Order: sequence, then structure tokens, then C-alpha cells
Amino acid sequence: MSFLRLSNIIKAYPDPEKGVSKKVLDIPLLEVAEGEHIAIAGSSGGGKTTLLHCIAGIIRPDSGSIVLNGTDITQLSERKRDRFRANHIGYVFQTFNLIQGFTAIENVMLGMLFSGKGVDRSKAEALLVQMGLKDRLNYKPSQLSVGQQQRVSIARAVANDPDVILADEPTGNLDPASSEEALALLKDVAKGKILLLVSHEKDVLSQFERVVSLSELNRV
Amino acid sequence: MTTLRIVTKNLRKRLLATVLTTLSIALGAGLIIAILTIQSETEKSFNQTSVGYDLILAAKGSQLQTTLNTLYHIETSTGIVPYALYEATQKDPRVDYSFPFYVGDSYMQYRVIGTSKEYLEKASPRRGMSYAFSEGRNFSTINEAVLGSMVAEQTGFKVGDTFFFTHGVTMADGGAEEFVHEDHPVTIVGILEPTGTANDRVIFAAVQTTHLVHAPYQEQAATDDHDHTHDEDHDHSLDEVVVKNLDAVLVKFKSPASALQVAGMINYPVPANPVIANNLRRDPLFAYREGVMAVSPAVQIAQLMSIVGNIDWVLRVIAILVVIVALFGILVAIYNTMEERKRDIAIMRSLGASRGRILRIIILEAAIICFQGSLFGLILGWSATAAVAPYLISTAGIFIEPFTFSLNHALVLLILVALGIIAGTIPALKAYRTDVAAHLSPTN
Repeated sequence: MSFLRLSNIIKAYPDPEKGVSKKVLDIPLLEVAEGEHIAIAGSSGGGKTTLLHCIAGIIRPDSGSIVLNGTDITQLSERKRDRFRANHIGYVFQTFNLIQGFTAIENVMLGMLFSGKGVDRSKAEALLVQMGLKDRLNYKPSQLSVGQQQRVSIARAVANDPDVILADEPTGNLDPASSEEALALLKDVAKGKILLLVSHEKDVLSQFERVVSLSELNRV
Repeated sequence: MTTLRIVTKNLRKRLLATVLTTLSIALGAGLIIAILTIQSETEKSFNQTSVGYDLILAAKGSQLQTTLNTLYHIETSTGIVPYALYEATQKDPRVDYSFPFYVGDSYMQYRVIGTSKEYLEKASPRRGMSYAFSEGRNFSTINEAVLGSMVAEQTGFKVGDTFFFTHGVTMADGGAEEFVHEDHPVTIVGILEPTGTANDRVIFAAVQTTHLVHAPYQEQAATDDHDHTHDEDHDHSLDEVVVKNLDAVLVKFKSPASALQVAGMINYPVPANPVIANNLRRDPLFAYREGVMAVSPAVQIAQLMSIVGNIDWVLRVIAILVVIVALFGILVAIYNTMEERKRDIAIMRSLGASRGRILRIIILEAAIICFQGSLFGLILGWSATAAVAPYLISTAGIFIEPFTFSLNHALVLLILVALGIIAGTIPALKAYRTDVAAHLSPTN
């Protein structure tokens, strides 16, 4: 039984130049089993980020369904999608997307705040310690290296113990050493969860048993 | 981590803008608070002091000047009226009570009010309040004085101390005649409880005391009744001192109709109708109407307050304009940050923050700026009021308690926060509509 199932996903954006909609996604089917780690390979502009945003419920596909553990995200109201995202989905971005004015631990706790489960400072602290940032808890993003920033981002993504972790080119901005370290940490904290990572880097893709090519997956 | 924490972080992140916007709100709020405090305290001060008299009988001149002189202990007298007028009011069956009023001397900048001891027994410094002594007793004879609470506080005098009146009255613009009646030591026999009115800053003594110190004036009494000079130690009784003139007579009538009747009789020409004219001539006070006017303090105060009220409105409009500008400042300050904050908002949304929460965060920021500004404004307003209070009491006789917090103050603070929320709504709606996907990363 698949845990995450995307079927007949179509997403188009208006093309102002041509005055018509331009289809970005047309995915007949994608199934991911519980606890499975999957990499989606694709070049820039192939719809990777749109796909992840759809799964995260940030945007709604024009048609199709995205069922996660029995819940069709596409059928939820925006407010319910927000809450669902906070509780079930962790998101790691290529550009880390940390709030600059907040410290590392505050960024992690920020993720907890929106889940409605309450903020657990000791858990946030433990996650950052696990990420090797014991001495950087109260550092702001600008005071951290890019590798450290990505580790904070990973800690934040798993802070609410999500079912799915989405990673959008998580190593895209990192040097090889940091990249390897971040990926190892990501795979480690994602054990038992679905990890859906998109990347175009061969080194990264090679570390996944299941790699799906976006060009094969997406009929656009 | 709470929503409030996010808000305070955001405000701190843009500290300069936050401080400047808060200050602009504080200025507007402070102005309103100061105006409200001064206005309400002025009104209270004037209304309170006026209680207890129906008419002031004084020499013809400015009615307002007489009112200010007799009730608020500012301004000069319009002239003198005969003491016999006071005696006539004492015998008049329509009069409940009356007091002589005479100012000729002072101590430092505090006026010495020559009156009768009944003044402190019967007059009301403010509505429902009688004069009470914190120390000592009322004056009962010559060369005794009772100090208003502020005089006692400022001079440090205690019951039993003696001092000398200075001839003349120190006006706000200076010009006191520096002649000390050193041959007439006056003993302090009582100190009054604070009344919150201009009466706190005067010295009360028998009208005979205020006349006795002017030795040449008493020549007749000295030659008639006893044989000594005023350099000798001696006691006078009240009856021995001749009082010829007063500044005014304060009269409380048994009925308001009597007050109207007497005021009309004194202030208006004698009617041509011989019957009415004859009736008027039989009035016990008719003989004194020449050169005298009857002043209704209530009317004068109402007129004064209407003038003050107009100034108030101008000041209020200015204060409201300042607040409006400040509110626009909030709107612009927050709105201008929206572009740079779109990314932060998108990040929070990607973490599960609802649009509603983003809306609340931005509105809360505006509300906090307004709340802080209002609190600072309250302190500023109080400080400004405290700064002008001594000037107001010395120049206008208006006793102001600067650190008051009334329902009006609370209302102003609430309205400001409410307006801040409204001002914050516009940028908040912009934040509400932020396209998450577009600001997280480019759409592939």
C-alpha cells in the first residue's frame, strides 16, 4: 500500500506572453511507499519545485489528487492544508530559507509553533545538537556557514516529526564536504519517513536506491 | 517561541523605524493627554473653587477680573467697596452668610486674604468639602493666621511660628512692593488640609489683621481707643480695629431668587417707574449700589470655560492631526517593509503558518507600536503637565494634579491602539496576500 500517492496531477501557469496557460506538471502517477527515500532527477525548469510545492500543499494542482496517508491534500481548504503541512511535511530548501533575524534554535522552534502541538525548546535543542550545532544554538543565520545553515534547515524540517520530508536541491548551495555531510544527516533524520529529494547532482542521486527522472515522470 | 515573540523580533529587527514610529505616536498621544489633563483639571479647579458663593459684590470694573481675584487669588482688585456693605449683608435677612474679602499683603508669593473666621467654617473650597485643619485651629483674633496647605509646605512654617506680612501682592510678572510689616508679627495658629484649589496657596487672617498692619490707617482707632504706638507689645481685639474698605464681599443667599434680585438691583439702572424705583430704594443694600457691581461667579466661570473650551478644541484638533500623521507613519513604515518581508512571510507560510496568523502578526506589530507610543505618550503628557503645573498655579491659580488617569485617558489609549490596528490592517492585507511559492524560490 503506497503511503504517498500522486495521480493525474496537472498544474499550469498563465503565460503572459502568449496569453494562454502553460502546463508545468502532468504527472499520471507517482507512488512512494512508507519510509521510502526517493530522488527525483531533473534539470532546472522541469517543474521540480512546483511538484514539491504541490505535495506540500503550498499550491494546489489544477487537477488530480495527492493522497498522503489517506488524506487527499488537494481537497483540503487552504487553512487545513497549512495545518496539515505544519504537522505532516518537513521542507528543506536549496536556499535554506531561514528567518534572518532569528537564531538557529528560534528558527527550529518556529516550525513547531505553527503545528499547534506546542513549542518544545529541549527537542529543538536536541535536534540542533544532533546536527552538530551544539555551540551554535543562539547564532543567527548570518553568523553560520552555509553548511551549518542547511543543518539548521534540516533540524527545522524534522522538528514536528513529519511523515514526509521534501528536499529541494538541498545540497545545491553547498561545497562537496558540506554537501555530503548534509545529505548524510538528512537521510539519517529521515529514517522511517518518506524522503522525497529533487536534485540534478549525480553524486546526490547516486545515494538513492530509487531515482525517478522527472522527464519520464512528467509528461510536459 | 510565540506569535508575540515573532512580533517583537520583527520590531527589533527594524529598531530605528520602530522607535521613530513609536515616538511619533507618543508625541501625538502626549499632546492629547496633556490637553485632556490640563483641560479637565482646569475645569475641575475652576468649578470646585466657585462653589459656595452666589454673588461677589465688588467695585465696578471687569467682572472676570473680580472673579479671578476673589476666587482664584490671581489678578488685582477692581477697587474698594465700603466695609459697611459687608455689615449690611450681615444684617440682610435674604443672606445666608457673607464674608469680607481683602487682599493687601502677601508673604513670598502667597497672598494674605483678610476675611472673617466664619469663612473657614462655612465656605466650601470645593463641592461637598469644608475647610479642615491638618494642624492647629482657625484664627480668632488679631495677628493670627492660617496657612493653606501649599504655603505651609513651601515655607516650612508650623503652628506657633511667627512671620511678617509684606505689603502688596506679588504678581506673576513680579513688581512686589518690598515693604515688610516688621512691627506686626503674625502667629500661625492653623494649617489647612489640601483642597486641590487655589485656596491652598493663600494665607487666611482676620480682615482686621490685614488692616491693622497698615498703621497709618489705624490712626483714628489708636487715638480713639487706646494710647500707644504700634512699636509696643500689645494685643488688639478684633473690635478695636477699624476696617473701612474691602476688596469684595462674598455673599451666599438663602435662595437663588434673592441673588438674582440683588444682582439686578445693583447692576441695572433704577427704573423710571416710580413705584418700582421706590420699592428698590427700600432694599437694604440699595444705599451701597453706587460704584458697586454684583458678579455671579458661576456665569463668569461659564464664560471663561467657553473661551478656554475653544482653545481646547484648537489644541485637540492639532493633537488629532499629529496622531493621524503618526498613524500614517505606522502604515507607511510597516507597508514599506512588506516587500523585503515577503520572503520571511513565505517561509513562515511554508512552515504551516496560516494567512490569518500572518495577518495577526502584522496587525499586532502596529498595535504594539501604538500601545508603546501611547504609554510613552501618557508619560510625556504627564511630564508636560507636571512641567507647566507650577506656572499655571502661579499665573492662573489653576491647581493641576498632573499624574491623573481618568476614563478619558484610558479611552484615548484604547482609541489609539484601535487606530493602530486599523492602520496595520492595510500592510497586513498585503502580507495576507503574499504569494508563498513566488517568494520561496522561483517557480520552475
